[in-house]
Amino acid sequence: MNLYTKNIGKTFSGVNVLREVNFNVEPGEVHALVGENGAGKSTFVKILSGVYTPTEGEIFLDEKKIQIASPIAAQKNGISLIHQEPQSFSHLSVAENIFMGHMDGSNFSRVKWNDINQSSEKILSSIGLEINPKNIMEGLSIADQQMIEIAGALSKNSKILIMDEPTSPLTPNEVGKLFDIVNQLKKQGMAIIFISHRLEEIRAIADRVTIFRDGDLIATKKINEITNDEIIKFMIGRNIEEIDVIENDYLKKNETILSVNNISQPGNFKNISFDLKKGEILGFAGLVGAGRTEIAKTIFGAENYVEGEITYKGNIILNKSPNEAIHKGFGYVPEDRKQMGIFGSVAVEDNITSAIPNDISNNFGLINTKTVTEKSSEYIDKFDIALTSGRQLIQELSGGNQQKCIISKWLLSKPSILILDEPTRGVDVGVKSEMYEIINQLANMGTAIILISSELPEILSLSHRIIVMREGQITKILDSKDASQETIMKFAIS
Amino acid sequence: MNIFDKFLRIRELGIFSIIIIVVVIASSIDSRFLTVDSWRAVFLAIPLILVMAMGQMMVIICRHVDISIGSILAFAAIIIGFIFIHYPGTPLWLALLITASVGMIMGLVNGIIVTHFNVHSIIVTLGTLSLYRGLVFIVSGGRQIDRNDIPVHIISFSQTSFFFSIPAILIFSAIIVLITHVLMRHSVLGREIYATGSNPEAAHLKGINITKVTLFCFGVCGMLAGIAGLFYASRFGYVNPGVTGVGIEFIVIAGVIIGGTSITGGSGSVLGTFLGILLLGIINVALPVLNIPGAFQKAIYGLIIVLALSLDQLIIFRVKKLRESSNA
Repeated sequence: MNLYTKNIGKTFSGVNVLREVNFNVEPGEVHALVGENGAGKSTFVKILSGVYTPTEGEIFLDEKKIQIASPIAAQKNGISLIHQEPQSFSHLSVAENIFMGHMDGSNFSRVKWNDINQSSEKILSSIGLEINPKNIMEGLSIADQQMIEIAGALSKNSKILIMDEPTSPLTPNEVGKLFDIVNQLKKQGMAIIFISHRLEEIRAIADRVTIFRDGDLIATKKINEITNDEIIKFMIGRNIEEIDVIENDYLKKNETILSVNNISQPGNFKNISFDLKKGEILGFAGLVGAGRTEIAKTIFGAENYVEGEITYKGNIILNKSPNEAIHKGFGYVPEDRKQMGIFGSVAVEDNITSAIPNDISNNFGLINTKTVTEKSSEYIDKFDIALTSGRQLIQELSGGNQQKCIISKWLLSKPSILILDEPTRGVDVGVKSEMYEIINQLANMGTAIILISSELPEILSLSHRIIVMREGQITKILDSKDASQETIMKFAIS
Repeated sequence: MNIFDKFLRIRELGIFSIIIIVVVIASSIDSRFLTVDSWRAVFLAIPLILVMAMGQMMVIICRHVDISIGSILAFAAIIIGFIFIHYPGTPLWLALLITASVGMIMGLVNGIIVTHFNVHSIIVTLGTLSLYRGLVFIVSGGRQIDRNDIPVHIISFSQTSFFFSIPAILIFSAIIVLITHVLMRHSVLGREIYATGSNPEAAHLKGINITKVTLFCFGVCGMLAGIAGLFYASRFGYVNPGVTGVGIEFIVIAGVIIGGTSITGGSGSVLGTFLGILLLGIINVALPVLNIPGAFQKAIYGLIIVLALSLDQLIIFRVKKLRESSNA
């Protein structure tokens, strides 16, 4: 079946995340979608698979206009989505996982076990999976679960398969097997939409590639008519005005404060080594899932590592818990602000002073509310945090103001090392530039800063050095003067 | 797969072993435990609990819990009690229909609040536990239904027999258990209940109407609690607003969990639940037979429940290890 879209657009609470997408996929074709995080490709496939409804535009299937109001409607039209993380029923059998939702008969009719077991066996062996359909799903590998999802799509006679980063949880060997099956399905006339961050994979499997950027479809090209460099250029787009990186006096002294030597965490990162100097802003670039957040959490004592060592101020240390790390002089502004950064139903003042319990309490461990107000108001004034009073609940503040509170919290504890994980996510442009100023000031005072950000312009305009990561490993450490969006992307994707 | 291996795959193995252990220990202390009389006592005590456990099991498999069942039982019992006072000739089938309907409505109310207002089922049913009990007092005006209010043909339901010497109430319960087994194990809806509990998000994406599935489970759970209300009136011969069904939810839930139903949803079986309830019934009968002083019985009962749960997990874990090593 030939699927095409005409001027598809999507707006979320006033924000235009997808604009005028004209896209088509043909039977017997693998069509790759690429783009940075947030470029709109996920939103687009969610529209095709019925998770979102488009705010504008039309979708046609074989020249016939269709409405995809729900995942079920998509499936009825022959469109199936294979999730990045397989959606399995671990307690049920393989055959039930394949046929759940479209078994023969009404509610109270008997499940035709023989039929579904036999059909499952047939479908599974057609994609080369030798597995007893009566086996319980629990304990099967991610790769097998993914195959079973594909088998589910085949059992519904799907004609269009959307695969959302199917290779990211797989081993290289498993990727090879998956590609064999994708090629086989392609020969049988299936239309396949394939999302991946790995350009070499796209080159190996896709016939055409479509590049998304900032909610726009930038280009659709035959894979053999475009180079990797061109794809990357399309993904990044025009050059954004860059602020210059600011040097400071501390940096000239070249004092190493933290030295990470060859640490690994199975499944997340491997052989990570780097030094951090006083007054330095060390940027961490890479795609989501490259292992940056896990490294930050490990240094902060929230997660464990299996080998290697961390040296801090000349001594080998092991942070067993965040509490220990805070006492040693570490601070961490987490990526997920709501979940991990704030105590939503607690007052702003108490949030700001929550990392320094000893400074605000007397000998009996009772909190002195006057000290709390004094300490917090210093930063509320300094950062111009907009609120009605210090007793206001932090959850009532805007994202940008919440972030200022979190940074205030760590400034009060006077950390030697501050880890910032996506510090400007979801804050507006004004707050962003204020935040940049604060970060630079901190470095100027000698604080060593680890900055994790998915926004390349942000990394480029703040970091003295940039560590680029891909799939758990450091692929390059760049000096600020050698770094550009193109070089970073090259090492982040390759 | 050899027979031994197949045997080890049975989830109910743990609970079955525990039942054997308890029976062996009890009968070696006092051989009176092995008499027909004590087993008769066990099987007379369990129908009421067993019927409620079938519904509770379905609710727990779809990731919820209903702790209001004791009050639903009492409300259905009080309603049917007053009907008996005014219409002593009400036939058994009609009484069953009335208590089932009353219970089902109350169960559905729980389900609707859970699904449509998105409140956690523990909170909802904790509330209705009290609400429904309150309705029992309001409707009855605090008055107890006495033995002479309940017609003879209802009393005899739990005492006489039409098949060997098995009481009718036990046969009726066995039918409910069998129907539940077929429903859960072999019907499309039954498998959808497991799927919903195993992974609600995935179930929704596969086109299962999880609201409908959840409502069905709560409806059946309430219905069976209502029927248990009639069983109560028949077996004990009275209905007291402040006593009937109080605390029964703990026994039912404990039995379901001991029987291997996962509290996090998605797994559990009718056979396991039956064995769980049977174990509780055996302990209940064994304690007095073994001359354990009344003051200690409740504590020992609770202790055995905790031990059984731990032991079951241990056995499951060991068997899993054994299976893995035999596979390797």
